[in-house]
Amino acid sequence: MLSTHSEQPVSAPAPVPVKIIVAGGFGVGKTTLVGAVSEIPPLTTEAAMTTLGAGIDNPGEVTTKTTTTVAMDFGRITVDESLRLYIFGTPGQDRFGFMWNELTTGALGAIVLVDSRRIEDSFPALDFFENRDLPFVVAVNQFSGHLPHDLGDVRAALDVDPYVPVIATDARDRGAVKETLLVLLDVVLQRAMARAGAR
Amino acid sequence: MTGPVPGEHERQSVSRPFLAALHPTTDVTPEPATSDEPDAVRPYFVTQGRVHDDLSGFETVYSLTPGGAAGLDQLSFEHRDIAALCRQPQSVVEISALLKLPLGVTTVLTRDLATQGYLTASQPVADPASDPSLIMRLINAVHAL
Repeated sequence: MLSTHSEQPVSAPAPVPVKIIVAGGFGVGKTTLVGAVSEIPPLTTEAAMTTLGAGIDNPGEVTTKTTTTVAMDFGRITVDESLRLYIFGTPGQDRFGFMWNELTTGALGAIVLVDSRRIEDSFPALDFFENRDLPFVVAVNQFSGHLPHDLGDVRAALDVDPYVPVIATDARDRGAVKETLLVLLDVVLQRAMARAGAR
Repeated sequence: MTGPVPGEHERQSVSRPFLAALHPTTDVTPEPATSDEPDAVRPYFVTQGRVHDDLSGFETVYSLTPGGAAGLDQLSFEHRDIAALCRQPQSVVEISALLKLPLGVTTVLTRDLATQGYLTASQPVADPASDPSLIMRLINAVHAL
Protein backbone atom coordinates (compact mmCIF):
# COMPACT_ATOMS: atom_id res chain seq x y z
CA MET A 1 0.00 0.00 0.00
CA LEU A 2 1.24 3.44 -0.87
CA SER A 3 1.90 5.84 1.98
CA THR A 4 0.89 8.84 -0.09
CA HIS A 5 -2.84 9.12 -0.22
CA SER A 6 -3.57 11.08 -3.36
CA GLU A 7 -6.19 9.41 -5.52
CA GLN A 8 -5.96 12.08 -8.20
CA PRO A 9 -4.62 11.01 -11.59
CA VAL A 10 -1.37 12.51 -12.86
CA SER A 11 -2.96 14.44 -15.69
CA ALA A 12 -6.62 15.05 -16.50
CA PRO A 13 -9.20 12.61 -15.11
CA ALA A 14 -9.29 9.39 -17.12
CA PRO A 15 -11.98 9.27 -19.80
CA VAL A 16 -15.04 7.15 -19.16
CA PRO A 17 -15.34 4.22 -21.61
CA VAL A 18 -18.35 3.15 -23.64
CA LYS A 19 -18.34 0.29 -26.13
CA ILE A 20 -19.88 -0.99 -29.34
CA ILE A 21 -19.65 -4.61 -30.44
CA VAL A 22 -18.88 -5.83 -33.97
CA ALA A 23 -19.92 -9.46 -34.36
CA GLY A 24 -19.81 -11.83 -37.28
CA GLY A 25 -18.29 -15.00 -38.63
CA PHE A 26 -14.61 -15.66 -39.12
CA GLY A 27 -13.11 -13.74 -42.04
CA VAL A 28 -16.11 -11.45 -42.54
CA GLY A 29 -14.01 -8.31 -42.03
CA LYS A 30 -14.51 -7.35 -38.37
CA THR A 31 -10.91 -6.30 -37.77
CA THR A 32 -10.83 -4.39 -41.06
CA LEU A 33 -13.98 -2.52 -40.05
CA VAL A 34 -12.55 -1.67 -36.63
CA GLY A 35 -9.33 -0.45 -38.24
CA ALA A 36 -11.19 1.78 -40.70
CA VAL A 37 -12.34 4.15 -37.93
CA SER A 38 -10.01 3.46 -34.99
CA GLU A 39 -7.46 6.12 -33.99
CA ILE A 40 -5.03 3.33 -33.05
CA PRO A 41 -4.11 0.28 -35.15
CA PRO A 42 -6.45 -2.54 -34.04
CA LEU A 43 -5.09 -4.37 -31.01
CA THR A 44 -5.67 -7.98 -30.03
CA THR A 45 -6.18 -9.26 -26.52
CA GLU A 46 -6.43 -12.86 -25.48
CA ALA A 47 -8.36 -14.36 -22.64
CA ALA A 48 -7.63 -17.87 -21.46
CA MET A 49 -11.01 -19.23 -20.49
CA THR A 50 -11.76 -22.36 -18.56
CA THR A 51 -14.94 -23.86 -19.86
CA LEU A 52 -16.92 -27.02 -19.38
CA GLY A 53 -16.27 -29.44 -22.17
CA ALA A 54 -17.75 -32.84 -22.90
CA GLY A 55 -20.56 -34.27 -20.84
CA ILE A 56 -23.11 -31.50 -21.32
CA ASP A 57 -25.11 -33.50 -23.81
CA ASN A 58 -24.40 -36.79 -22.07
CA PRO A 59 -25.00 -36.31 -18.36
CA GLY A 60 -23.75 -39.78 -17.59
CA GLU A 61 -20.24 -38.93 -18.72
CA VAL A 62 -17.59 -37.29 -16.62
CA THR A 63 -17.51 -33.54 -17.27
CA THR A 64 -14.10 -32.31 -18.34
CA LYS A 65 -12.70 -28.81 -18.13
CA THR A 66 -10.86 -27.39 -21.10
CA THR A 67 -9.05 -24.12 -21.57
CA THR A 68 -9.82 -22.09 -24.66
CA THR A 69 -8.12 -18.94 -25.80
CA VAL A 70 -10.44 -16.21 -26.99
CA ALA A 71 -8.94 -13.52 -29.22
CA MET A 72 -10.66 -10.18 -29.42
CA ASP A 73 -9.71 -7.31 -31.72
CA PHE A 74 -10.54 -3.75 -30.81
CA GLY A 75 -9.95 -0.11 -31.59
CA ARG A 76 -10.91 3.20 -30.05
CA ILE A 77 -12.23 6.66 -30.85
CA THR A 78 -11.64 9.58 -28.50
CA VAL A 79 -14.95 11.45 -28.20
CA ASP A 80 -13.64 14.19 -25.91
CA GLU A 81 -11.39 14.36 -22.85
CA SER A 82 -14.00 12.66 -20.69
CA LEU A 83 -15.45 10.05 -23.05
CA ARG A 84 -13.83 7.27 -25.09
CA LEU A 85 -15.53 4.84 -27.46
CA TYR A 86 -14.13 1.32 -27.79
CA ILE A 87 -15.14 -0.91 -30.69
CA PHE A 88 -14.75 -4.63 -30.07
CA GLY A 89 -14.69 -7.23 -32.82
CA THR A 90 -15.76 -10.61 -31.51
CA PRO A 91 -15.72 -14.04 -33.11
CA GLY A 92 -19.24 -15.21 -33.75
CA GLN A 93 -18.87 -18.95 -33.44
CA ASP A 94 -20.86 -20.76 -30.81
CA ARG A 95 -17.82 -21.80 -28.88
CA PHE A 96 -17.13 -18.20 -27.98
CA GLY A 97 -20.59 -17.67 -26.58
CA PHE A 98 -19.42 -17.68 -22.99
CA MET A 99 -17.47 -14.45 -23.59
CA TRP A 100 -20.50 -12.57 -24.89
CA ASN A 101 -21.97 -11.83 -21.48
CA GLU A 102 -18.92 -9.76 -20.57
CA LEU A 103 -18.87 -8.20 -24.03
CA THR A 104 -22.45 -7.04 -24.06
CA THR A 105 -22.74 -5.88 -20.45
CA GLY A 106 -22.94 -2.09 -20.69
CA ALA A 107 -22.63 -2.07 -24.49
CA LEU A 108 -24.42 0.64 -26.43
CA GLY A 109 -25.25 -1.60 -29.32
CA ALA A 110 -23.83 -3.92 -31.95
CA ILE A 111 -23.03 -4.17 -35.63
CA VAL A 112 -23.61 -7.66 -37.04
CA LEU A 113 -21.28 -7.89 -40.02
CA VAL A 114 -22.52 -10.33 -42.63
CA ASP A 115 -20.97 -12.02 -45.65
CA SER A 116 -24.06 -12.63 -47.76
CA ARG A 117 -22.51 -15.83 -49.12
CA ARG A 118 -22.31 -17.24 -45.58
CA ILE A 119 -25.16 -15.62 -43.73
CA GLU A 120 -25.59 -18.51 -41.31
CA ASP A 121 -22.33 -17.42 -39.63
CA SER A 122 -24.22 -14.43 -38.22
CA PHE A 123 -27.10 -16.39 -36.68
CA PRO A 124 -25.53 -16.93 -33.23
CA ALA A 125 -24.91 -13.17 -32.93
CA LEU A 126 -28.43 -12.29 -34.09
CA ASP A 127 -30.01 -14.74 -31.67
CA PHE A 128 -27.91 -13.43 -28.81
CA PHE A 129 -28.55 -9.73 -29.39
CA GLU A 130 -32.27 -10.31 -29.88
CA ASN A 131 -32.43 -12.25 -26.63
CA ARG A 132 -30.51 -9.51 -24.84
CA ASP A 133 -32.65 -6.77 -26.39
CA LEU A 134 -29.42 -5.04 -27.43
CA PRO A 135 -29.89 -2.58 -30.32
CA PHE A 136 -28.10 -3.74 -33.46
CA VAL A 137 -27.83 -3.16 -37.18
CA VAL A 138 -27.05 -5.73 -39.83
CA ALA A 139 -24.25 -4.55 -42.13
CA VAL A 140 -23.63 -6.63 -45.25
CA ASN A 141 -19.98 -6.33 -46.23
CA GLN A 142 -19.32 -5.58 -49.91
CA PHE A 143 -16.40 -7.75 -50.87
CA SER A 144 -14.74 -6.50 -54.06
CA GLY A 145 -17.02 -3.49 -54.10
CA HIS A 146 -20.36 -5.09 -54.84
CA LEU A 147 -23.05 -7.10 -53.10
CA PRO A 148 -23.57 -10.61 -54.46
CA HIS A 149 -27.10 -10.63 -53.06
CA ASP A 150 -29.97 -8.18 -52.85
CA LEU A 151 -30.40 -6.57 -49.40
CA GLY A 152 -34.07 -7.53 -49.37
CA ASP A 153 -33.17 -11.17 -49.92
CA VAL A 154 -30.61 -10.98 -47.13
CA ARG A 155 -33.20 -9.48 -44.77
CA ALA A 156 -35.67 -12.22 -45.65
CA ALA A 157 -33.06 -14.91 -45.05
CA LEU A 158 -31.96 -13.39 -41.73
CA ASP A 159 -35.56 -13.05 -40.54
CA VAL A 160 -34.81 -9.98 -38.38
CA ASP A 161 -37.47 -7.67 -37.01
CA PRO A 162 -38.70 -4.95 -39.42
CA TYR A 163 -37.20 -2.13 -37.33
CA VAL A 164 -33.66 -3.58 -37.53
CA PRO A 165 -31.73 -1.75 -40.28
CA VAL A 166 -30.14 -4.01 -42.91
CA ILE A 167 -27.58 -1.95 -44.81
CA ALA A 168 -24.63 -2.39 -47.13
CA THR A 169 -21.18 -1.39 -45.94
CA ASP A 170 -17.55 -1.68 -46.99
CA ALA A 171 -15.34 -2.63 -44.05
CA ARG A 172 -12.29 -1.14 -45.79
CA ASP A 173 -13.86 2.25 -46.37
CA ARG A 174 -13.76 4.82 -43.57
CA GLY A 175 -16.77 6.72 -44.92
CA ALA A 176 -18.88 3.58 -45.22
CA VAL A 177 -17.96 2.42 -41.71
CA LYS A 178 -18.70 5.89 -40.30
CA GLU A 179 -22.14 5.68 -41.94
CA THR A 180 -22.68 2.21 -40.43
CA LEU A 181 -21.80 3.51 -36.97
CA LEU A 182 -24.14 6.46 -37.44
CA VAL A 183 -27.03 4.18 -38.44
CA LEU A 184 -26.46 2.16 -35.27
CA LEU A 185 -26.14 5.27 -33.08
CA ASP A 186 -29.37 6.60 -34.58
CA VAL A 187 -31.18 3.39 -33.58
CA VAL A 188 -29.69 3.69 -30.09
CA LEU A 189 -30.68 7.37 -29.86
CA GLN A 190 -34.28 6.74 -31.02
CA ARG A 191 -34.63 4.05 -28.39
CA ALA A 192 -33.15 6.24 -25.64
CA MET A 193 -35.46 9.12 -26.52
CA ALA A 194 -38.49 6.83 -26.62
CA ARG A 195 -37.55 5.57 -23.16
CA ALA A 196 -37.00 9.09 -21.83
CA GLY A 197 -40.40 10.14 -23.24
CA ALA A 198 -42.09 7.17 -21.62
CA ARG A 199 -40.85 8.10 -18.16
CA MET B 1 -30.13 -10.23 -17.79
CA THR B 2 -30.31 -13.99 -17.88
CA GLY B 3 -31.07 -14.63 -21.53
CA PRO B 4 -29.89 -17.85 -23.04
CA VAL B 5 -26.37 -17.87 -24.38
CA PRO B 6 -25.66 -19.12 -27.90
CA GLY B 7 -24.53 -22.66 -27.59
CA GLU B 8 -26.99 -23.50 -24.86
CA HIS B 9 -29.51 -24.44 -27.47
CA GLU B 10 -29.24 -26.20 -30.77
CA ARG B 11 -27.65 -23.99 -33.39
CA GLN B 12 -30.14 -24.85 -36.11
CA SER B 13 -32.90 -23.16 -34.16
CA VAL B 14 -36.44 -22.78 -35.40
CA SER B 15 -36.09 -18.99 -35.41
CA ARG B 16 -34.07 -19.01 -38.66
CA PRO B 17 -36.17 -21.17 -40.97
CA PHE B 18 -34.28 -20.17 -44.09
CA LEU B 19 -31.01 -21.47 -42.76
CA ALA B 20 -31.30 -25.09 -43.72
CA ALA B 21 -32.82 -24.37 -47.11
CA LEU B 22 -30.21 -21.86 -48.17
CA HIS B 23 -27.19 -23.68 -46.84
CA PRO B 24 -27.71 -27.42 -46.60
CA THR B 25 -24.11 -27.98 -45.58
CA THR B 26 -22.44 -25.90 -42.90
CA ASP B 27 -18.71 -25.59 -43.18
CA VAL B 28 -17.45 -23.83 -40.09
CA THR B 29 -13.84 -22.76 -40.31
CA PRO B 30 -12.27 -22.65 -36.86
CA GLU B 31 -10.56 -19.46 -35.75
CA PRO B 32 -6.82 -20.07 -36.28
CA ALA B 33 -4.58 -20.09 -33.24
CA THR B 34 -2.42 -17.00 -33.03
CA SER B 35 1.30 -17.55 -33.27
CA ASP B 36 2.44 -15.22 -30.48
CA GLU B 37 0.38 -16.39 -27.55
CA PRO B 38 1.41 -14.98 -24.19
CA ASP B 39 3.57 -17.08 -21.94
CA ALA B 40 1.11 -19.37 -20.24
CA VAL B 41 3.02 -19.80 -16.98
CA ARG B 42 4.68 -16.55 -15.97
CA PRO B 43 1.60 -14.27 -15.76
CA TYR B 44 -0.23 -16.63 -13.42
CA PHE B 45 2.84 -16.74 -11.20
CA VAL B 46 2.67 -12.96 -10.85
CA THR B 47 -0.97 -13.10 -9.78
CA GLN B 48 -0.15 -15.94 -7.39
CA GLY B 49 -2.54 -18.12 -9.27
CA ARG B 50 -5.48 -15.73 -9.09
CA VAL B 51 -7.49 -15.34 -12.27
CA HIS B 52 -10.81 -13.68 -12.87
CA ASP B 53 -13.40 -15.80 -14.60
CA ASP B 54 -15.58 -12.70 -14.64
CA LEU B 55 -13.92 -10.40 -17.14
CA SER B 56 -16.70 -7.81 -17.22
CA GLY B 57 -15.50 -4.23 -17.13
CA PHE B 58 -12.48 -5.00 -19.30
CA GLU B 59 -12.92 -1.58 -20.93
CA THR B 60 -12.39 0.13 -17.54
CA VAL B 61 -9.77 2.87 -18.00
CA TYR B 62 -6.93 3.13 -15.48
CA SER B 63 -4.53 6.01 -14.99
CA LEU B 64 -1.50 6.53 -12.80
CA THR B 65 -2.00 8.60 -9.62
CA PRO B 66 0.63 11.16 -8.47
CA GLY B 67 1.34 8.85 -5.55
CA GLY B 68 1.68 5.98 -7.99
CA ALA B 69 4.10 7.96 -10.13
CA ALA B 70 6.19 8.79 -7.06
CA GLY B 71 6.13 5.17 -5.88
CA LEU B 72 6.80 3.51 -9.21
CA ASP B 73 10.24 2.31 -8.04
CA GLN B 74 8.60 0.23 -5.33
CA LEU B 75 6.95 -1.91 -8.00
CA SER B 76 8.52 -4.67 -10.03
CA PHE B 77 7.90 -6.70 -13.14
CA GLU B 78 4.35 -6.72 -14.51
CA HIS B 79 2.99 -4.42 -11.81
CA ARG B 80 5.55 -1.79 -12.75
CA ASP B 81 5.01 -2.25 -16.50
CA ILE B 82 1.28 -1.74 -16.05
CA ALA B 83 1.63 1.30 -13.79
CA ALA B 84 4.15 2.92 -16.16
CA LEU B 85 1.87 2.29 -19.14
CA CYS B 86 -0.97 4.04 -17.33
CA ARG B 87 0.81 7.42 -17.39
CA GLN B 88 -1.52 7.71 -20.36
CA PRO B 89 -5.01 6.43 -19.46
CA GLN B 90 -5.37 2.84 -20.70
CA SER B 91 -8.19 0.33 -20.62
CA VAL B 92 -7.66 -3.18 -19.27
CA VAL B 93 -7.87 -4.60 -22.79
CA GLU B 94 -5.26 -2.15 -24.09
CA ILE B 95 -2.90 -3.04 -21.23
CA SER B 96 -3.51 -6.73 -21.95
CA ALA B 97 -2.79 -6.30 -25.66
CA LEU B 98 0.22 -4.00 -25.33
CA LEU B 99 1.96 -6.04 -22.59
CA LYS B 100 0.81 -9.39 -24.04
CA LEU B 101 -0.77 -10.46 -20.76
CA PRO B 102 -3.93 -12.59 -20.68
CA LEU B 103 -7.04 -10.55 -19.94
CA GLY B 104 -7.82 -12.39 -16.69
CA VAL B 105 -4.32 -11.72 -15.36
CA THR B 106 -4.46 -8.06 -16.38
CA THR B 107 -7.83 -7.71 -14.63
CA VAL B 108 -6.34 -9.02 -11.37
CA LEU B 109 -3.21 -6.87 -11.53
CA THR B 110 -4.96 -3.60 -12.39
CA ARG B 111 -7.43 -4.11 -9.53
CA ASP B 112 -4.50 -4.79 -7.19
CA LEU B 113 -2.78 -1.58 -8.26
CA ALA B 114 -5.97 0.44 -7.84
CA THR B 115 -6.51 -1.01 -4.35
CA GLN B 116 -2.96 -0.03 -3.44
CA GLY B 117 -3.47 3.52 -4.72
CA TYR B 118 -1.14 3.39 -7.70
CA LEU B 119 -3.92 3.59 -10.26
CA THR B 120 -7.32 5.20 -10.35
CA ALA B 121 -10.15 3.48 -12.21
CA SER B 122 -12.62 5.10 -14.57
CA GLN B 123 -15.53 2.65 -14.69
CA PRO B 124 -17.69 2.15 -17.80
CA VAL B 125 -20.88 4.18 -18.07
CA ALA B 126 -23.50 2.08 -16.28
CA ASP B 127 -26.38 2.44 -18.74
CA PRO B 128 -25.11 4.46 -21.73
CA ALA B 129 -28.02 3.42 -23.95
CA SER B 130 -30.49 5.43 -21.87
CA ASP B 131 -28.56 8.73 -22.05
CA PRO B 132 -29.51 10.72 -25.19
CA SER B 133 -26.95 13.48 -24.56
CA LEU B 134 -24.13 10.95 -24.32
CA ILE B 135 -25.30 9.31 -27.54
CA MET B 136 -25.36 12.73 -29.25
CA ARG B 137 -21.73 13.30 -28.21
CA LEU B 138 -20.84 9.99 -29.85
CA ILE B 139 -22.76 10.88 -33.02
CA ASN B 140 -20.95 14.21 -33.28
CA ALA B 141 -17.59 12.54 -32.73
CA VAL B 142 -18.23 9.93 -35.44
CA HIS B 143 -19.41 12.67 -37.83
CA ALA B 144 -16.16 14.53 -37.20
CA LEU B 145 -13.93 11.53 -38.00
